[in-house]
Amino acid sequence: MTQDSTRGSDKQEEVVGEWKRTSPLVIPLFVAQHFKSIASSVSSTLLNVAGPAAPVLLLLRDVGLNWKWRVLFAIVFTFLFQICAAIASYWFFRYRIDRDSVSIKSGILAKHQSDVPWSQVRAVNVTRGAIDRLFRLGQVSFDTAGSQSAEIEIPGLKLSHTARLVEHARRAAPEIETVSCASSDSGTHLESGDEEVQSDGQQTALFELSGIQLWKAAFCQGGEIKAVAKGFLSLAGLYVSLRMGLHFLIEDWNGPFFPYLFGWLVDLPKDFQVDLMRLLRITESVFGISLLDSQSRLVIFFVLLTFTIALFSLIADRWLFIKKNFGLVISHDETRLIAESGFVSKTRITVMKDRVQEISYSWNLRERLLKRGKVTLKQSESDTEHMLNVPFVDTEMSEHLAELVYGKDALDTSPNFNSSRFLRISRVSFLIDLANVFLFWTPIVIATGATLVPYLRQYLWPYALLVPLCGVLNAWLSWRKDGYIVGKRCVTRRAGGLVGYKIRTVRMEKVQKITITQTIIQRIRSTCALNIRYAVGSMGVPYLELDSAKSMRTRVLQVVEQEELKWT
Amino acid sequence: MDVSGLDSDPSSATTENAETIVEWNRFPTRIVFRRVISACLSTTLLGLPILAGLGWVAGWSYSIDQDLMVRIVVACWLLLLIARVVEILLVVPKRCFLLRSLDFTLRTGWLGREELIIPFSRVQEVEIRCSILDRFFRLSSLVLKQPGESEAVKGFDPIVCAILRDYLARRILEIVELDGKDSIAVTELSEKCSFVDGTPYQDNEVIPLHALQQSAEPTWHSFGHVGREIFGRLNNVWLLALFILFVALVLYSWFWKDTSSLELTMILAWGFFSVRTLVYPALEVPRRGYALQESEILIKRGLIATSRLTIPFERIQDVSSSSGFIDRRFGLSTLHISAASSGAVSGGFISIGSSGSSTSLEGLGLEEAECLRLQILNRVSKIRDEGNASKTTTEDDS
Repeated sequence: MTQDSTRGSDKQEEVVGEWKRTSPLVIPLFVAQHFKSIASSVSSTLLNVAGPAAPVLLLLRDVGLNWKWRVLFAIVFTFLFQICAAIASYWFFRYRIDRDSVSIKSGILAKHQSDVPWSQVRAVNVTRGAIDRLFRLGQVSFDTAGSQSAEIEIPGLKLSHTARLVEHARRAAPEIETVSCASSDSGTHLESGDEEVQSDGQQTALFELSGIQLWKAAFCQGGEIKAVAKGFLSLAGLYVSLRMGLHFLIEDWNGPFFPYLFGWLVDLPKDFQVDLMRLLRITESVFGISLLDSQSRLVIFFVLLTFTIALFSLIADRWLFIKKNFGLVISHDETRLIAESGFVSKTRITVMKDRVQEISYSWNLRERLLKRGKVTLKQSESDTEHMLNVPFVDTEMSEHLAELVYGKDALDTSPNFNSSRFLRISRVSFLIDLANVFLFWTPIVIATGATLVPYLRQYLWPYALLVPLCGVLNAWLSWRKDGYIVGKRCVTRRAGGLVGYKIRTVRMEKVQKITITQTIIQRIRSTCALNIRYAVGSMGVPYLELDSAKSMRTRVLQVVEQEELKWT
Repeated sequence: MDVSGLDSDPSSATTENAETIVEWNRFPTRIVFRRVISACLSTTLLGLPILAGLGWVAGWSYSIDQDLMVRIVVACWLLLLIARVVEILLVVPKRCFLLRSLDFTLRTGWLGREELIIPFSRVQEVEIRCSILDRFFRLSSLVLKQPGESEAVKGFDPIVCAILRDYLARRILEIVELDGKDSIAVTELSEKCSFVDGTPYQDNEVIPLHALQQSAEPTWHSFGHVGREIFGRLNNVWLLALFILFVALVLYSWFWKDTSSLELTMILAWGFFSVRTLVYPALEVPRRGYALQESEILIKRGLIATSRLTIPFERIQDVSSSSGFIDRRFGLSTLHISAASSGAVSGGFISIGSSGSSTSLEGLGLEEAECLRLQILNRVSKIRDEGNASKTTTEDDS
């Protein structure tokens, strides 16, 4: 069935045929991928470095070389070994394009073969990196609904061959949702001389985030408490590692094994106190301020220390945000939304309009003040590579994005928080929330707080009053902000907490299952809660009239049945 | 016929628009006893340690006497246990289900009610699972695998479960073939049905269980290799030894102090788990099997806790095979079949031999794996071609 033949570059021009190797020009790409996979996990790094290095060190043990030379030899041998392994992995990588399927074979010792029937291919992507562009090559990947990543990736194809392959994919699988062409470099169209891979259409720029707007977006990001916690945790982690390292470096193993292994952990609190005093004394000697004599100075010192850690942590956090969203450009064509951003290395995220499961638009306090929010588009895979986050977007733009993705269906809904089309949730919902606050959450929170922090018991009454007060305020605001719109093809839900707002919209055809739930009170009042579940989440509407909920459920099921989509 | 019957007698519910009486199917009474035993075990093995932890924290915080705290914890555990048993006795007998031509409906609840509907067009794979307790009570669970979270419906009679599985697999294929043939155009539908009026969910007839028949047992082809399976599990044995060593050291150092019987305990524990790890494949592997049907592939595995998975060919996204160094020494290969379903199940199960969206057939002969791979690919394309041809004919007719 298979024929291993790769001779002759002319043969590569044929699309349908036998097992083939890709161009040798992509060997550096295989080497880079091999080293990337080695560094992907600690165990992989250890195995791939220690494996080749150990026999070299063993052989050179009695040669009489200095240990530095032995280590150097081991490093060089390991490096060469991995290069050879990468070249071998290129040699054993082959692909085949058949009438019914596209297949790849790979692996040196462990062999792997993957076959994707054309009928199941949902997307074909062409990617071109720097090496590809230099040598007029391209990487074609075929994506199915089976997993989050592309099932088949064929690197190092000639550009002309790439175009023919894409065309073949189109003919063989007429239901392919999209044929997208991307380049790992920002803003580069897939073009090379007279050879060009056809794209579905021209891309139109929609939104740009740069300059002062980017800084404002960074300011709006929030997460200060998380950043402070992260800063302190990092510091604690560093301190524990330092103490462990010092223990194993300084102390010898003379006694029992277990106390030697874990003894330092038991001594850690005591050591921490000693180190803290040492830090205070160092600060005294450096700045000339006596901290240990005055309690207020000590408090100020720790406040400043916390502030500094928080500041560093926040700056790191904001830097990551700016780095990620630097020069963000959102563009679209007939089938896709494309986001390109990045400070040094550019990232491109492509979202297929047909695959979008949920569109959400949210505001936190600062975003409310600046009247800008964050739009998130979730595809069937909900990881970051398949999710599009667009920060600092005004309501008009979010409406426009929703319309681009959902088409006319989006007209039924509204991403505007103040829209009068939102139907309010029944008052009973608020009353039930109140009952929950007083009968369930208040006793639990008071008991947990007073048990874990005995100090709170001294101020039990103020504390006991504050908890339900916060609960009532939260329940009231949540109920006031809660709302929903049921359109012909979409369902939208508005929700909010103390300060924020969030609006989510889902198309009915994406629903996987639907539930109607009634509590005893709802049964008496002939109301119910309706919950729809889709691939990346769920959306519930509490306290609907039972008849309305049933009609809505019937409508959703009708839409689901009329769709020819097999799984989304 | 519309989906209805909520807030009414489960055995005979009147629909919203029509006067038709819907006969809900009940689960066997044995499920109540099974759930009671399951609740007792989980409350004791999981709930009691959590309560003990909470009790320890409360005792430390309020300086409560240890004996008193133990009594309080035991009382709480008993209360929790009684509450769960009472809840099961009241709620579980009320569970019922409805099978229709387009979806599966499950109704639960005693005072409150919940009605869950899963359209067949969204089901990717169907699996029957049977745990040790299930086997004792002659029960099975039906898992409807979907993208996102799949649904595990527990407590069917095994025969009913098999009938449902057969029906679902058949319906999935029929619905695919019907696509574009019997359906009304979406735009037309939007005009026809108004949200307020709630147009009936047409052509969705209730299917009585007695009208369905269980298909004959297929011819199973065995897969798996005992030697390879044991070889693959050797790593686990050494990891297990390290784990037991660590646990034993912790326990002896902190609690018992006396280390005289440490070695014997460790060897006994390691021996027991090792024998279990190595003997289990020898008993389980011969019971594995796969069967290629006209429209689906069936895979069975398990010794005491068993699983039988049905993957319709139409739902298969891709097929891949892999063969590691050791596999090649044994002349074996593993076939991976991917569908668009998720590994997460709302019932809390972990699928046997299936991770995420991929199902593996380990230990196939190299030629057998290649042959099976080709057969699956051929059938996938055949079904697809038939679907396309049917659609084209419909379009021509219209």
